[in-house]
Amino acid sequence: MKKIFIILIILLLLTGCYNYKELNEISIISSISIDKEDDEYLVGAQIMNAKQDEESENSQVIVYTSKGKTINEALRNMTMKSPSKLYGGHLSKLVISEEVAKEGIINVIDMFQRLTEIRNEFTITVAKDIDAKNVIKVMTSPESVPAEYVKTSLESADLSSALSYSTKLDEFASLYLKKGIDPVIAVVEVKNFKKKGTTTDNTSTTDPVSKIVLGNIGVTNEGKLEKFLTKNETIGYNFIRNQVQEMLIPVKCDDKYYSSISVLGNDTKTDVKKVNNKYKININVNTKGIIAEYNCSKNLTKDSTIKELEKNTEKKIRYYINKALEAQTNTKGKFLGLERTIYLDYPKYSNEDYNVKISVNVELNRKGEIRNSSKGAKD
Amino acid sequence: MNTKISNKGFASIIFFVSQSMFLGVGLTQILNSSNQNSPMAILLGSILGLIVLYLFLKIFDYEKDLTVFEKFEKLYGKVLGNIINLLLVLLFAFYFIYTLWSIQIYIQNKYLDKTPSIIILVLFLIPVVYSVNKGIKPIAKLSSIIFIISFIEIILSIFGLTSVLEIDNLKPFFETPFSIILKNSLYFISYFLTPVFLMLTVPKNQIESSKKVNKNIIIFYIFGCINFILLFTFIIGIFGIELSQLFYYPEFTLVKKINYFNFIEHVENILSTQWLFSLFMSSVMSLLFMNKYLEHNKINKKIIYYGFIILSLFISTILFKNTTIGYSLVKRYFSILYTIPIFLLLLISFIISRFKKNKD
Repeated sequence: MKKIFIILIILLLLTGCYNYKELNEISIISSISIDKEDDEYLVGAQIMNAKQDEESENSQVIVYTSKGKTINEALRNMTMKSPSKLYGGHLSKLVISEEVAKEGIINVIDMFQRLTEIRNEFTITVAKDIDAKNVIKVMTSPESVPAEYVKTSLESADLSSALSYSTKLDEFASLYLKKGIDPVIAVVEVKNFKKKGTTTDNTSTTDPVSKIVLGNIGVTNEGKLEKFLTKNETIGYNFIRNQVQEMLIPVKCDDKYYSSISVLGNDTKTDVKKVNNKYKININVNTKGIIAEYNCSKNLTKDSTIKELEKNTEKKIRYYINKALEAQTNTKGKFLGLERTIYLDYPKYSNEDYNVKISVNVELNRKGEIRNSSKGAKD
Repeated sequence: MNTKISNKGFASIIFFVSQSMFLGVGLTQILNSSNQNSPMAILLGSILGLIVLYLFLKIFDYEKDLTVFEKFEKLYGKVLGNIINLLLVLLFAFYFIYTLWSIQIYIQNKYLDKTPSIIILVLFLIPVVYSVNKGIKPIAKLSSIIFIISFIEIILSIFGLTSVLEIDNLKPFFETPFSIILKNSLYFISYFLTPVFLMLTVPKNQIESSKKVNKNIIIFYIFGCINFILLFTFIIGIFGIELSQLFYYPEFTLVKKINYFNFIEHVENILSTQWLFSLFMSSVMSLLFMNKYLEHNKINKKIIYYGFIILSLFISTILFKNTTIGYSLVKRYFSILYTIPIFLLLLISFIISRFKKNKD
């Protein structure tokens, strides 16, 4: 009898029903935007529309905006507009306006690190030349949730182009705190932002009015956005930081035409030596790739042609890296982390000058379906 | 019917009780002081800790039929022995209240932020009191079951975290002065081995194949140490030391990173249960310590025992004003109030027992 009584009490207490919330009672936030307006933060929250179904023409997301002195206050103020409690457990993107980023990205991330329900695995992006709130309003296709669209675009850019780099919150905070390195941040832009772009009409056409496009990366210094890198500088940055997985390098193969080298694997090793009280950093790049396109008339079956192509690819990679190094000398932010490389081996390093030596080795293993180009075979 | 306590089950208790002081206290203290050399401090602490474990095992071996209270009465005489026992019970009564406070803070922080503390504690205390009332045999069995669960969790965590580990985060090696590493290795011993004293509640002869129990305790001790070396390595290797130092519970934040095959995520609530188990076992062992003391002194058990449980339920919710004060007080006074007296007691008891043995 006693046991049954205890079991009954436990059954009643352990139902998991205490303070529970039904799915339709919470608003799942997929992305958040942060702008500045009248000395306050203007926070936008993109909420997943749980009531939307396949046949409905309603948007899959709804965007609410609200102001506050802090991000949390702005989100709380949003409860006056949103019918249900905001839930941040599925947040996948944070868009910060250029103004806020320049004032300090570090000033707005504390809440996201502090709240348990939020996972630190979302990407931080800067909205270039547009308000952050407008980025999360643009309707996209084929991914109908704009946050997912940006997330998958960034993942795809990271994986296959080396033209961007997505930094997650944890990584941003970790690099900000580390000595001798500063984090970078992904950039999003909206081409031709129009009111129509925020409606479902934008997704039902082959040529959307407004489009979200990825920019290259932004460099930070002491948690503040310092400048944006160009395409070549971004590629160079990714090579130095060993973040290139796959990409395409256009390489000149005669006076007029180009070939495409598809990088299928890259390994960059950075080491440092102290010679005569001077630090020497060696950046060793080992790249493997295939010939993905060849529009010249040279004979590709000859080893010398392949060797020449490899040399030209090496030159191009060296060019990218030099561009990134040049960008580094013109910025305060240590985005390449070369000082950190020195610090890890020589902890007493204190910002002395250092030399950088680059060595690049490219191996082109395959040529695809054809041995030679049609042009080369005819000649 | 076999009335003896399972050998491995009993030995596995060391794995859990040794973890309890690290949640919110030990981990952050060692991380903040030893920096990226924390795994080294743990390794050194594990080796030095064998000395303390040796003392513990020697006292455990002394008069195998007696409980810890009877042993101290025999070693120090009735009066002094009673005073020591009373002081120990008071210390571990406060330790029990602290574990309740700690679990309540941890659960509210990580799982049930809206649930009132009292509900969390009542639900937590029901199995604790039930286990203690059933005695050490079911507790040892329970320990062996939850050890298997924890072991699987550890393996799964390692499997999920290895891919995001960055060895560079552990560099520069040997930057922290050796004196600090040594100091932190002593803190590790303090947090790891002080609660192990609770295991002396059980007379050795009550354990099946008692000759093997020392060996198994050492095995579980080594396993616990390896677990901590890996934990510190993964925390620093994944977050970098600077970010790791920010977290209250870096071990929980660590398992938040796990993502199996790019689609199984949000598994932190499952993989972090070993920390709940450790607090559970610590509460069980400290309450058992009290229970056995009351039994030993033939005091009207039920009133004091249940009175203490109800009282601790309320005290633990208001024990510290906030987590900052709570954790910093524990960090400051645990070694002085608990570790030094207990380790000294073990050492003196060991010397007296040797002396008595030689005399006999």
